[in-house]
Amino acid sequence: MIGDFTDILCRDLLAARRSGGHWAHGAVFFVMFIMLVAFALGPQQSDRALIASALVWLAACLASQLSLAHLFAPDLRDGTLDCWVSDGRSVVSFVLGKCTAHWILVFIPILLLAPFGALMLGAPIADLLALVLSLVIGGPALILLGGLASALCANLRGGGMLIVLISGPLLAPPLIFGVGAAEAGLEAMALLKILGAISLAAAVFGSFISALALKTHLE
Amino acid sequence: MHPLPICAIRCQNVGLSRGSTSVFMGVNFELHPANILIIQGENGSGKTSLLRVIGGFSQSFSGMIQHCFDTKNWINGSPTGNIGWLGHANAIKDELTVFENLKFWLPKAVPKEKIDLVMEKVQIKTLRHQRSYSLSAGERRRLALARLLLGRHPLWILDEPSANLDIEGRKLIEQLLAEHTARRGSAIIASHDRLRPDAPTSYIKLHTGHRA
Repeated sequence: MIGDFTDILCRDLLAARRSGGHWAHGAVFFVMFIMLVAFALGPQQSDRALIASALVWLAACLASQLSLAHLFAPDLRDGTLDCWVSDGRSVVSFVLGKCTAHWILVFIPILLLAPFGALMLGAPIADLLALVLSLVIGGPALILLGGLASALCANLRGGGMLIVLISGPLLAPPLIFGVGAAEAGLEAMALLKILGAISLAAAVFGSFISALALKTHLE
Repeated sequence: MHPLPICAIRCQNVGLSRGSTSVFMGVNFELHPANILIIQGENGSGKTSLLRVIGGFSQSFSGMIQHCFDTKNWINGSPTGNIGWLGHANAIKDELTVFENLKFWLPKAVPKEKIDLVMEKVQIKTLRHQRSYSLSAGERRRLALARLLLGRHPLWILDEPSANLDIEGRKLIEQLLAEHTARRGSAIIASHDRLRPDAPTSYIKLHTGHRA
């Protein structure tokens, strides 16, 4: 199980390193989104500070979904999953390995950029820790639930639109609690705990259902 | 040369339908270690679908598939985990080199030296550090064959193994099949080519689908 997980993780990281910066799309989108929002909202500092956390969360949520459409489809098309399954390896490990690679490649850059994005939108420095913490705890849910939508649509040519429709409602709970936790600050541990629970549930159920969906596509 | 685990497989009246269209039906065979089964049929007669059913990918077939590891106790289902699969797609990642692709598929218990061994066997050792996207179609097929050789699967399922290969490549496949059966392995092959493996071989012919 663990060996399968690290095999996939290392392979995807190596392939991403050679892909000519394909993985950076999410981070670039994140920066562009924040910049354009800052321009759109104009110079009234006081208004922007109120919604800075929500906007950063929204940007992270959308940016993390950008390249998710291609998370499983290539492995399905090029026969990797066929061989993986007939070797008797764990498909749940496959899903978790791919999602972890996506988290490292797409979400860690977003985490690093998030404090600067929030400052750009006028958030007070005191709020940054809660924002980053909520992103760290809620990020896995964004990736795993988006990955679930991607797994369900992996056999569809041009399933991008369907992925958006499926992942939209799935992403609402982590977004709601994430923004709530970021705005309430570090005193509101309950919201962070709920966010953590959503991430854990997504790791268990999301990876399991994704694996089932991928196996069905092999028929 | 280590003998492989023993694995026999049999199909009883196996059929597959998609909607009201029958892809194939009434497939019966029993395949024992060191034997080869070749599935023939025109394009669209369901060879690949049959291989996927036997390989355990599809659950929606009719009839019965059983396997056993000791010639006595037949177990329902396909021997997943004991199948060396070579489909149409070669399971190659373009960004990785030939060596890295093989390293990814190397079973945990097998030492790394085996990679060089199988590369030599399929004659792609000179391409060791080449990125896979630059390989020709025939070289990609050879790389896929090398992946097949890394595992110790008693049952091989090969879908048009000689696709894109030159005459030398076809001889290579016959040679690999001879070595595989010498180790008590078995193989199910869908092929248009007149492969002449040096092992007891039976044939199944599929006919283009009947409308139900």
